[in-house]
Amino acid sequence: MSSRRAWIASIVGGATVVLLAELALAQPTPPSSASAGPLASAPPSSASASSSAAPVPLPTGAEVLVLHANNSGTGIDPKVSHLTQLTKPPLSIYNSYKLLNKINVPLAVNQTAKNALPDGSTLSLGLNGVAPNSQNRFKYATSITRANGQNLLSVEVSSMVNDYFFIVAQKYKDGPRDGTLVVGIKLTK
Amino acid sequence: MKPPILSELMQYYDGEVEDPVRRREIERWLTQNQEGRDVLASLGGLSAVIRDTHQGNLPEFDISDSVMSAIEREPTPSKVVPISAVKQPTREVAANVNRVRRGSSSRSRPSVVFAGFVVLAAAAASTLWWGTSSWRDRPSAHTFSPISSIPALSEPTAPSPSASTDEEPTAALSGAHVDSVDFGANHSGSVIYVDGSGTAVVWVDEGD
Repeated sequence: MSSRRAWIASIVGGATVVLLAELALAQPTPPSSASAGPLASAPPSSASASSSAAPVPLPTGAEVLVLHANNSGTGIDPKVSHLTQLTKPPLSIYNSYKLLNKINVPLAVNQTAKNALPDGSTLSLGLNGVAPNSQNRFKYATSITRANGQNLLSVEVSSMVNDYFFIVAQKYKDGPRDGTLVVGIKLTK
Repeated sequence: MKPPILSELMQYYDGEVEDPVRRREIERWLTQNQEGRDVLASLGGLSAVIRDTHQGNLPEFDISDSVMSAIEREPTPSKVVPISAVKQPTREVAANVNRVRRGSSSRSRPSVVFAGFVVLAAAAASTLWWGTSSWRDRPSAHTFSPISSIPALSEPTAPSPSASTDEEPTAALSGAHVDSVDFGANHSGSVIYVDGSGTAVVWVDEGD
């Protein structure tokens, strides 16, 4: 009798221990504030980042390439053949690129430089400073305003010096050839 | 006469009812009560299990072996049984369980009880293991999968007008990255990254 009671008691006790252990393990441990993820660790502002480190030399200008893109089969202008991006998607949907203009734009923080594009629209460029948490990436803003004053787009970009950024903007007829204006921008020093 | 409770029956089985009057009452009750006799028989089965366990007389029972042998015995894949057809076998199973509970066979019952105990223990262990491993393997809430694929364009049309700069490709950090874009009131467009270079391309929709 006593051995049977002990046997039953051991079963019940064992099951209770298993259930309690399972309940304890099922409780997820909340992350501590010290080990919080990226949401809790907000990047410092560019001002605070730059205050603790040596001043980063800023880009002094930008190179703007104004290209006319179409599928005329003439290929890529040798003057821009170094732009391998033109042969890759999505820019490779055009098989021909012709350099219409190359503009070297001087840049300074919080100053906007404006340049006319062949279709009468205006390209604006302004340097904003060093990108947060970075020593070699910079933020700049660019926009295109049409001849009628309508804003086509405004973009804020962060990039390193000599990294191109492209805008496939608007339809443009270069002489007899239809096509699209493509603007390539890179920061320079 | 007051019918005996289970603990009293257990005491009676073990010969621990010291009051002779009560013992006779229980015996009288047992002669008139089939259910009581069944309970008493089941106590006998339980004792056999305990005795066999202590003496190591139980045949070896490996749940994995039994499952694998059952699978090997299965000549054809299991059929899909409609839900309505499941009810009848369920009743049969319940009836079998009742038969086992009543202890009609004192030798088959211990093995069933022991097998059930082993299955329960295995289920508890696997639940524990799964519980811990699922928490260990669960990805962090802050883990994001960067989108790096670029849609292939087969004809010279503007990409779909979904300008979302939140979809940041991995390669974008090594090139020019669009932080924000505003296509104005009357336009739409997309931000696409050149395959492999991380170069951002803002593509204005020419539909207007």
